[in-house]
Amino acid sequence: MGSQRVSDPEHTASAEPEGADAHTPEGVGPAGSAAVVAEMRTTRQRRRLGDTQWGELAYRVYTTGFFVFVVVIMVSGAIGDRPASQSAIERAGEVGPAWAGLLLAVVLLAATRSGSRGGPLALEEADVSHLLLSPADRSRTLRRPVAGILGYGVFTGLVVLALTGSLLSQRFPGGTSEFVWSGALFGAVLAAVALGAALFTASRLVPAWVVAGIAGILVLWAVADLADRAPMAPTTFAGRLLFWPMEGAASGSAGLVWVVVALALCAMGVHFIGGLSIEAARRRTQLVGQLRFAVTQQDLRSVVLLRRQLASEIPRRRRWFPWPRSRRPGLAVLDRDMQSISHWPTVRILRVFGLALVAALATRGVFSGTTPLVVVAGIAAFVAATDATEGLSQEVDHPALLESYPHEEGRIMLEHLAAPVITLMFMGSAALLVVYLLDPSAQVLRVGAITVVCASLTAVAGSAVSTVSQVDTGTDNAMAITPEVAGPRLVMRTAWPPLLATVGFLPALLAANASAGSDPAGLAATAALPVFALVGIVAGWVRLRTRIHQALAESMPG
Amino acid sequence: MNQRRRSGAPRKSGLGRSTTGTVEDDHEPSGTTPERSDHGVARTAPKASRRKRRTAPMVETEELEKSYGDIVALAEIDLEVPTGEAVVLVGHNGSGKSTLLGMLAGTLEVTGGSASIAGNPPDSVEARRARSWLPDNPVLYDDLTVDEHLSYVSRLHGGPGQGGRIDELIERLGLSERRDDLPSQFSRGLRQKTAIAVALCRPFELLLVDEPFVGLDAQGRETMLELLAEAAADGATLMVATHDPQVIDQFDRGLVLSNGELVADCEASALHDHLPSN
Repeated sequence: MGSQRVSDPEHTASAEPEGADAHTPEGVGPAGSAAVVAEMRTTRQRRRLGDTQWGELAYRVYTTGFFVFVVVIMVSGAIGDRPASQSAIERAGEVGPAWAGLLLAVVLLAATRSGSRGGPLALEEADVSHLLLSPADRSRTLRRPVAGILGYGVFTGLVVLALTGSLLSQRFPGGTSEFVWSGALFGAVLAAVALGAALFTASRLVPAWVVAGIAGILVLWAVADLADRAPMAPTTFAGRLLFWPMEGAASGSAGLVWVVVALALCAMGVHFIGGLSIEAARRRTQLVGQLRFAVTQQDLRSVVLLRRQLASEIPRRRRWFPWPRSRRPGLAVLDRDMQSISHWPTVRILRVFGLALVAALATRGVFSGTTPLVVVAGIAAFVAATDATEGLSQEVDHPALLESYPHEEGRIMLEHLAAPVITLMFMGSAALLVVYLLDPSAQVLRVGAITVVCASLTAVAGSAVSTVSQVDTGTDNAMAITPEVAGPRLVMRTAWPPLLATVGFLPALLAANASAGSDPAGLAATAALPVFALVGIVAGWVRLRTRIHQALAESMPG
Repeated sequence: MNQRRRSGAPRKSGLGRSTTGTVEDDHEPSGTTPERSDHGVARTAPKASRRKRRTAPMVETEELEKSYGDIVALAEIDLEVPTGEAVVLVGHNGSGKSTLLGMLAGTLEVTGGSASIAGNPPDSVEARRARSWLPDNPVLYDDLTVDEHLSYVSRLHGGPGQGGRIDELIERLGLSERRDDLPSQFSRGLRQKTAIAVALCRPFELLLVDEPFVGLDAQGRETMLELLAEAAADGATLMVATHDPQVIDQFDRGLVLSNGELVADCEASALHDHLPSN
């Protein structure tokens, strides 16, 4: 170690002119900083392009294109459902814009929430450290990433809602191209409003609670409008854009005001983004990096977990409900999971309920004849179940703890599934109640109740398969898997869990296709039997997976 | 909180000059054209303005607090660090050293009280211009070479972006052979050396450093100490957090943090009594 003191001037006296003062930083003008940042980005981009494996990229484009093509063909075939009845068309013309408006309001609320945590930007950590902590103008520095995220977001919204418009045109009168254009316009507005609001909130020009409060009021207004309890909500005007071509629907021209709102929010967001929180930006850089990796690994469980961290979800100190500790050792795992659920933060409860509501509304759509919505219901239920099976996830993430119990790990993992099933059944019932209030019908209630039970079971089963598959049974090396098997196996591991969750909606699907005179609820109950059998098989697999793997490994030659 | 001191009291330090902020021992002809160092940075200023600058503390906090929900990471820190003082922060893991430095560096939000860098909020352009921050974990671009890192960062802060200081740092930190390599291919130690060079290649008045010796070999550690000494000799204010008891004697002043509170503020040489092991 050096013998000189850090603050000893004699050490450097010969190297520095006498009387030398501190390093006195000189400023560099905004234009100078912008030029340096631009040059740096160009250098980086050039190097990245130089490192790109073009063959691999072309293969990825090819496989992605092929996958999209197959999906489009499948969806197009599935969409060919029967045209809506006249009453359904009239009903859609009346409430469709309000539903679309509610979607806009909810997305807006979610966006302001994301913005209050530094979203939607996901910068590189080095950019935060070296660019945002430099004297360079932050708004100017961030203009390019902001433009990138706006462009990507608006394009995605445009494409997704254009496809939705195409779907609507299959069932409602108005012309395919017209629906595609109006859907594209609504999608672009939806994305631009959401991203603009998020950027504006992130800029901290106005306290986040004010922006979130306005978005919350819009949500409540949209709900009240939907229930005919309030004058037309502002967001309903935007919703009219989506249904513009439909005969009988109100004109969408008033919704064009939202185009101006979207542009204004984006402009303000871009202009003021320099005020974003560096702490939030740094936090996002670290978590978003992990999130992207998890997405590339199709690891939905990690995605959900990291998203929770990104949202700074902290368990509540006070419980939502009392859960007395049982003295029976057999109920210890259930107790632990219910204790955990009783501390869920409000936002997680709302999210799981929101997902249950999406699944319930989609199921109602399936029951009405829009078969493809079963995919939406299945995915929503699966994501909700991934959130609910946190106890199991924690066990899997701490294998040493799992191995330390004086019980077989399969038993522990199986016991972890009880609490999520109870939770999803509760949330599903609440969502069903909302659907019933919107559309009071005894058939909806009966078919819905059967579907809630089945879907809760299969959603948890799907989540369990996804989670438990990641547990190392210690036999992976012994079970040599050829590349021909490994590929399909990976696809199955990724696709099977959500598919399993979707099977739970089979009762609603069969009930929707009940012939005249037959009882839809009876058909749904019949469909529940194979669903229960499937869930039983999955439960057995969770319980005995390690033993099965060991037996297979032992049976392998060598 | 015991032994908390509101401001840096007059005392004699290893610098051989008072650290209360006077410049009476500096012999600078007033009104002269500022000289430029080999860093391309103005190193002198008219005496009047220098006196004014030195009179104001470089770092000042008033009831500075950082909390995460119910968890208080740093509780009501009152601190005044005069310009040119070399301060070492010690404390056990989770004591609040990095939190304090992070708030001064502008990477953490202040949740209570206030902090200022040369009289400006930590997030202001003026503070960003005056302060250089070397975090405990090197943060570097995967697709920029060592040379490019130093060049761009230097230029962003008004430096020349080449030659002089950059070449010197690269050579002294033993990076000459690797200056055209990407840090993503480096070991932890080499990445740390690159981060040190990045933090020091630009002009600054305040240097905030968190655990600078982690991952460094003996030579790197020696060079780091020399570089810190030179920065202090140039009049920069230093605040360095470390767990290394062997280096604390090199500083003027020591701060001991424990459980988010400032429990001691004393001469650095007296810190040994307050180290966590004691």
